[in-house]
Amino acid sequence: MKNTIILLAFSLLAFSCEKVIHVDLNEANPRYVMEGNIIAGNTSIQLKISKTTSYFNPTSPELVNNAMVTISDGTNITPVASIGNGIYLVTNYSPQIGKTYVVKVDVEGNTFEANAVIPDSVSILTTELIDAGEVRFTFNDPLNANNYYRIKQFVNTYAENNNSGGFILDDFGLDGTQVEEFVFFGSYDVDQPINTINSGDTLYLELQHINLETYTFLSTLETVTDGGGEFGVATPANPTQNWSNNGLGYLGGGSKSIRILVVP
Amino acid sequence: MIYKKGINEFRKIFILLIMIMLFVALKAQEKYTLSGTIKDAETGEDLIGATVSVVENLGTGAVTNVYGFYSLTLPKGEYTLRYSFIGYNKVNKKLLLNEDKKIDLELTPSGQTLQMLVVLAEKENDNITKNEMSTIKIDPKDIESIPVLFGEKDIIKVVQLTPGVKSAGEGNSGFFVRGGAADQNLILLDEAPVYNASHLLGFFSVFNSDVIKDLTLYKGGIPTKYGGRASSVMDIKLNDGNSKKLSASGGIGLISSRFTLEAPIVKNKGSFVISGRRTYADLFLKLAKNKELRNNSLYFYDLTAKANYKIGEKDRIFLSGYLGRDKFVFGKTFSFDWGNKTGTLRWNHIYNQKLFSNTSLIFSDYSYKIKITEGSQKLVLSSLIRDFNLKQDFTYYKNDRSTLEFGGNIIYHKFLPGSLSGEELNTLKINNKYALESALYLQHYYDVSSRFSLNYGLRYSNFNYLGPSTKQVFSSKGNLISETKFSKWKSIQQYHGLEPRANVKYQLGENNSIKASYNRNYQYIHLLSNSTSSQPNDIWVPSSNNIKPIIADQVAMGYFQNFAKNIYNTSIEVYYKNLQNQLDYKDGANLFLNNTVENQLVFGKGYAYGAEFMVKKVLGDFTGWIGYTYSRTFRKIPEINKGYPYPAKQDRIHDVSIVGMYKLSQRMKLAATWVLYTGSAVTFPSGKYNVNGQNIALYTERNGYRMPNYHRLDLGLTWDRKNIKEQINPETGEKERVSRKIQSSWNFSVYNAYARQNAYSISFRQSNTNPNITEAVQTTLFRIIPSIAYNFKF
Repeated sequence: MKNTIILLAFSLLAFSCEKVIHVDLNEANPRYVMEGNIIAGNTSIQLKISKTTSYFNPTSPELVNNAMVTISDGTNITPVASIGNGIYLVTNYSPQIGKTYVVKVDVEGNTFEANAVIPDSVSILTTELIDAGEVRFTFNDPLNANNYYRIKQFVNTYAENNNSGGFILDDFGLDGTQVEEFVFFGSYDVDQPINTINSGDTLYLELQHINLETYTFLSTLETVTDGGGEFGVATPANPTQNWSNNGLGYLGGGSKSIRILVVP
Repeated sequence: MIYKKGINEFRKIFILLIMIMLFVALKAQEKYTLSGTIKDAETGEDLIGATVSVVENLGTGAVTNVYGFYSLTLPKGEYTLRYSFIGYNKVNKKLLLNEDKKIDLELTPSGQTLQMLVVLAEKENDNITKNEMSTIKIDPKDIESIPVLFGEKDIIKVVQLTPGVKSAGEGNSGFFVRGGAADQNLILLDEAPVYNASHLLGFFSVFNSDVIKDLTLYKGGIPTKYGGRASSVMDIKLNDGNSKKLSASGGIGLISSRFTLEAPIVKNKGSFVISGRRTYADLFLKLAKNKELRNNSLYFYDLTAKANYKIGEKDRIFLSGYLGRDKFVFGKTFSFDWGNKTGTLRWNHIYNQKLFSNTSLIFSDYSYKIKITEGSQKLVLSSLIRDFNLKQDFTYYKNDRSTLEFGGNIIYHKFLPGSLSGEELNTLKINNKYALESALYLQHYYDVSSRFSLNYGLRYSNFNYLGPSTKQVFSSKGNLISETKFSKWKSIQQYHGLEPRANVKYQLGENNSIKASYNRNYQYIHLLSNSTSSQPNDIWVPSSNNIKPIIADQVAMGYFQNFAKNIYNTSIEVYYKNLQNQLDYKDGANLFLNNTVENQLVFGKGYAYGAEFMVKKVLGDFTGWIGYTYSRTFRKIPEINKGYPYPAKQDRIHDVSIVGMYKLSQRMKLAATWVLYTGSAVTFPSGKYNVNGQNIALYTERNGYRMPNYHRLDLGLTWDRKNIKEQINPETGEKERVSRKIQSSWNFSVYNAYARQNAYSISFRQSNTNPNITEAVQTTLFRIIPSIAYNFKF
């Protein structure tokens, strides 16, 4: 919001100008980036491994296919196999609420480890299609605990290991209350709502009750990407990740509740 | 327990203080005291820093305090006293001192001020003889021709042109002193602290230069009567108002207009001054064709008022107040307003010719409010900090060599870090915080010999973080472990400390001296801001069980030399500063409306060092100065940069400022300023990666890069309308020159005259033409800004 204010102030003054310049940046040694979520309610675990590239490099980041990955639930260790494109997958694996999972990655002489605790599930209570693209829903926030949520939406195809998108929420000021939220499906632009939802479309609404580490990563990611904007206000930094050995990315943990709506 | 210990400590120091006073009183010999006040003969304004010197015994004398009061104790005898002040005609007075005497005097302006650069308003060789270093004094009368952004004259922008003081950014009125952060400056307006000293997102300071009498910035060697901030004190005194006749002045500028009215309440007994200023950029918006644009506004205004009244020979009351507000409205959905309110009630009392007292009751308030309306939903976000301060200061003029200052104060702080309320929302409120900050101080100014002088002192400060509030305890990982509620006036956490300070001066010859100083300062309140420049929604928080007070130690040394009969003043000062309990933010910290904001902070050490060079020409048609500063500022915080020291964002290695003023004719003055400094330290990415479906930057070291070097030339021209006319005196029939009733002048200025594209920020974004390419974009705020202003006085 601060950025918006400053921007508006300057557009009012209308004196500023922009130009593209050349900046010499140092080249950091490539580092490993690992991203995956362990969600109770899913039936598989997927991990994506890639490397960092130089900042101005126009090609997409290098994917890593030669890592050894395992997941442990405290008793059994299960291998997670590479299926190419930097993706590692184990199917028929159902994470359990209350358990702590440890993922270990061995790659080119480096070892990274992260763990994820799976919190209780929080169910979506009610859903209501207000508009073709907008859904109002409610859920009960558990009392006397700090709770964190990630809300995701899908149109027509549901993908349980999709890591992108969605928005996060914490229960600060809402502890123990019935929470009401609104989600937009399809494209939505602040200035001009474009409704790309049609009659007959299936809407998948997913409420993930996530652990603190997952929330911390996603929320710091938000501040970091927001703050690097136009007037560079926040001190640029890396999001707070939970891999050992300075691994980048995060291992998330949560449990999910899904509601499916069909647009009439 | 801790509280009790604090009280004991307090008591001990108080006893010590009294003993010193007794000691001083016992030693007093059979001498007589001359005291009084020195004023401007035209306006009746008190003259601050005017001198009374004994002609028979050069080097002996007294200087008026901020209320124009002086006191001088001498052995019985006959003396010639010289009353002088820069820009005023000197007065010599013969006096037989055989009893205590009181002489009030008025000095007439010499009308030669134009020939003298008094930006550092001092006596010809005061810079050599005074036991005072690292101090900048500015008289607002003498900076009118210095060009500034939008022609909006701003005393703080002139302070930024002196060595050791750095602007917080392009056109910004925030400043850094000797490596300290922007919140480490104590800014006082008639003794009231101003918590957010900038208007319009930092581009203008909140001070209306028309009503400022005097500005002093202490970069080091800070007197013990000041406390509460780690790096510097900027003490601004308002005009008292013309006590002789009604007068008005004002100015019409490009973006704002000002008007000041001053008059006696009872002639020579009391006066008032009231001054207002408002910007009018928003009024032009009303003319816009676009309806949406017409609903927007962005403006600020401020009002400054002061009154004083002399009750008797020995008592005088002052009341001053300031109110400033910024308002930003965006259509019907968004409004944001913020500002300061301050008030000071003072009572001067002269107990006897040697003991001067001032009691002040001070109020200060800074708040902001954001309103967002979206459909039926209405959100209000607000925050404030408010202080009540009771202060007692004494000055005891022991003899012509010795002066004692002592006193104390107690401040009640109230912090409302933020609350969010709406119709369909539970009110979200960050816990209020309260604190009591108190201090006792003593300072002794002592001229050991005509060459050697010493001033030293001690300040004891105490800070008590009080209920009603909640004490939060965090684990080493930053998780909230426990919360304990404290009721009203219950101490949650207490800190206290001793702040020794000292200055010495040794005069080598008529034209040169060396000086040294040491000071320790405690700072108990902290500004949380994740931007480089000051923003209206920055918040102040007290020291607590999680936040320790900042402790700053500074040593400085200087060599001062004048040339060519004091026409050229030169100085070199070096300093080293050590900062404990420096505060910084965790990576990706969230400071906004966060109830556990204290776990977003990290703590460590800081250090700064530098050398400041100044060459100044103070007399002649051409006046000005060249200042150069070499300085470094580092932070060392375990959680940041892997614990290695990193440059603070205000670390600018080289800083040059050149100010030149040339008198073309009696009515025409030309001024130019040029600044050059190393770009600020910034953090840029060293790589990128993809996570959560986004490309994000990889950062490896904090502040490891530099913005491009900054340089800029500003030009100004002041043209006085003919202010003197010739007329025939009806009584004598002779021609004589008299001042016109209305005096006026035009001021033309150009900011950034050679249109240098300085980088305000550098950001990275996807190229519009090829989304795979990331490009660096530099934003320049002001290229070339001409402006014009008209000033008048009658």
